[in-house]
Amino acid sequence: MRVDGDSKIVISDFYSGCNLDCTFDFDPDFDIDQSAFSVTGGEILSISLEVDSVDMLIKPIDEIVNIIIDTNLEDGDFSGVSVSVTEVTVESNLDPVMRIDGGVDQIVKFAPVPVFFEGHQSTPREEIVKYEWDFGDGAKAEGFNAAHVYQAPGTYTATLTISDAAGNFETVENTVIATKRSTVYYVKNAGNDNADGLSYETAWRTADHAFRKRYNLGDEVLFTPGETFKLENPVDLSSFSNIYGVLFGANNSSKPATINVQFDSGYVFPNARGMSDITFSNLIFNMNGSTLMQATRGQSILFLDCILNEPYQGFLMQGDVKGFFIIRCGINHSTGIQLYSTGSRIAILDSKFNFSENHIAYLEVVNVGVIVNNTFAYPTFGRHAFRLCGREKPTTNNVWIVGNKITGWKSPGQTRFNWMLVHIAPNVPGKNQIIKNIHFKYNTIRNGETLLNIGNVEDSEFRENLLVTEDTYTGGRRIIIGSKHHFDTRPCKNCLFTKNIAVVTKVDEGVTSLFSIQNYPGHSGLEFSENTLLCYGGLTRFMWFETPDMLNGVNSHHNHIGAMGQDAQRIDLDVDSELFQIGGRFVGGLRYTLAEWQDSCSLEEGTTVE
Amino acid sequence: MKYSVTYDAYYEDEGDLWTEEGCGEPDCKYCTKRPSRPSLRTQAVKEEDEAYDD
Repeated sequence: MRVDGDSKIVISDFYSGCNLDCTFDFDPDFDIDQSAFSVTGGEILSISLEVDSVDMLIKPIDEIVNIIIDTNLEDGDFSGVSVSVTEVTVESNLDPVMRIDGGVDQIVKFAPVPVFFEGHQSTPREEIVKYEWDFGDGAKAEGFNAAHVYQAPGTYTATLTISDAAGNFETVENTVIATKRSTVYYVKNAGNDNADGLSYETAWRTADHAFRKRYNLGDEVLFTPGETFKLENPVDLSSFSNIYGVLFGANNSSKPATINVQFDSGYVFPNARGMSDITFSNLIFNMNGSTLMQATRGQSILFLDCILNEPYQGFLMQGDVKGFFIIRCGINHSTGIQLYSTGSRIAILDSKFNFSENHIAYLEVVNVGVIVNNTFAYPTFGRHAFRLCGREKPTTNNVWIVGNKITGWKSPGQTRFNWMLVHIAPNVPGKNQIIKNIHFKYNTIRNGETLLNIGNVEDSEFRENLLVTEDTYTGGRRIIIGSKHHFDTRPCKNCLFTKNIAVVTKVDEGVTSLFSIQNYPGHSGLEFSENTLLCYGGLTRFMWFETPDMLNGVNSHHNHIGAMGQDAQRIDLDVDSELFQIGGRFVGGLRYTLAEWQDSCSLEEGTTVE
Repeated sequence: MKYSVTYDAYYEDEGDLWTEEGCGEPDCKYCTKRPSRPSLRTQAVKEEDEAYDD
């Protein structure tokens, strides 16, 4: 048997003999061409595949599949019978779909070229366990969406490979062409705004002058790396509405240029409407309490290697911007929301957002997104580190949120950790908000009261996240399913919580509940499996249901609950602890040990406590 | 959807809706220092507070 490059399994050395049970290690979902099989002296009635019921996501490879060939031969007729097989080709049903920048056939743009790759439309989605991207320039990524910046001019072939649990794979590719820019304007401290700017010798001097010109497609405005420029006034809106294909800053530079904003309120780029293929690269903006821009109705806007220090608000995209890329950027110490979006194809990669007197990321709409390997840290109390909402149009869906660090603290003047760090739920009443297909994986959420709260979330997966807090607040519910938060909401449906690990320490007096199912009836298709809760003292609930009817639609099994710590007086968590609760608040209600819980509602099969 | 700097919240003209207020904890300094937000049907928001239409 071999697997060729097209993910076709070809059986070329079929077991031959009268024993008609043969074993193979391919995916039993495949269809086999039965005409390739023949049996001497008999007729094949049917061929079927049998496999033990296993979780293919846990043990994806080498499951034994029996091929059962049913013939018209009776027991006594098997003497001398053999099975002959012509080449059997078993084709996978994987169908990879790659969309670039929303569905264009080919991208030809000036470098650096940001590209949003969508793979989430590949099918069958439930069978795909891995999406691998090779961008063709040496860089790679994983995820049902990805984003990449082609910094050097060239022609690149991007490849998406999707794989199923059995290791079968299919690929699809597309081409991206990054071209060299045509005209470069130079800006240097020793320049002259009356010069033409077209060479380093005839460079301009001020940022105000450099941002004032009306540029053409393909222009580059090169602020000399390492130098600092003042910006005395907001950029005239006539320069920045409907502007196309311009690069500000320096591409591929090891040193950034710095823009010191001299005014302390308003926008640096007011009314930034209709920008298309605009790049800011290698720029530090010392914002002095101003806001950079509020981009509306634009597309393919890239911030690459940029830092905003002390803004009021940071990167704002509004009005369904299509293609907003924040890559290797940072925002430090804002007084307002650092990152806000209502947009499509939002890519936030490898960036750091730290310290805000408001939310860190407030993503009101992310209609297809990839949010990977970022830090969202230190919002003020009462605000979120990471907020994802939804609207009916455009909706929030197909967002890949992987490998981020989301960190809370006791913000100045507070004695408690942040009240809620990650909140994925509606933010406006009465708007029929929808949040679908969120993959929230391998993130670390640290130091908050509620670490994760979801509402109106459907068809989503929360896998292998690490949740750690030293919270001492008495009301800690670490993962809430059923956000209410003042707004009309709907139940969560078809969400998987698996292999998450929560470590909660120093819960001195109060109750900590890992999973809280609450606020409205009708949650369905919620599965909690193989999660681990380690708790140090306090009263611990693994799962709390606000009302008994919320048990419906929940499947919880094979979780692990354990106590940690050295002080025996603080460890009241053992197999006799009341780890499950229905009703009441932090105390009260009906409380159950694991054994009682299993008896009463058949949940938590395979769960252990130690 | 528009944004009001004064009230630090997003709002919808249609339906007169403000976005969330925060945690609402009585001891949250951030929540308690925020001004109450008027109904947009009875009080216009100042021009300089407005962002841009969707």
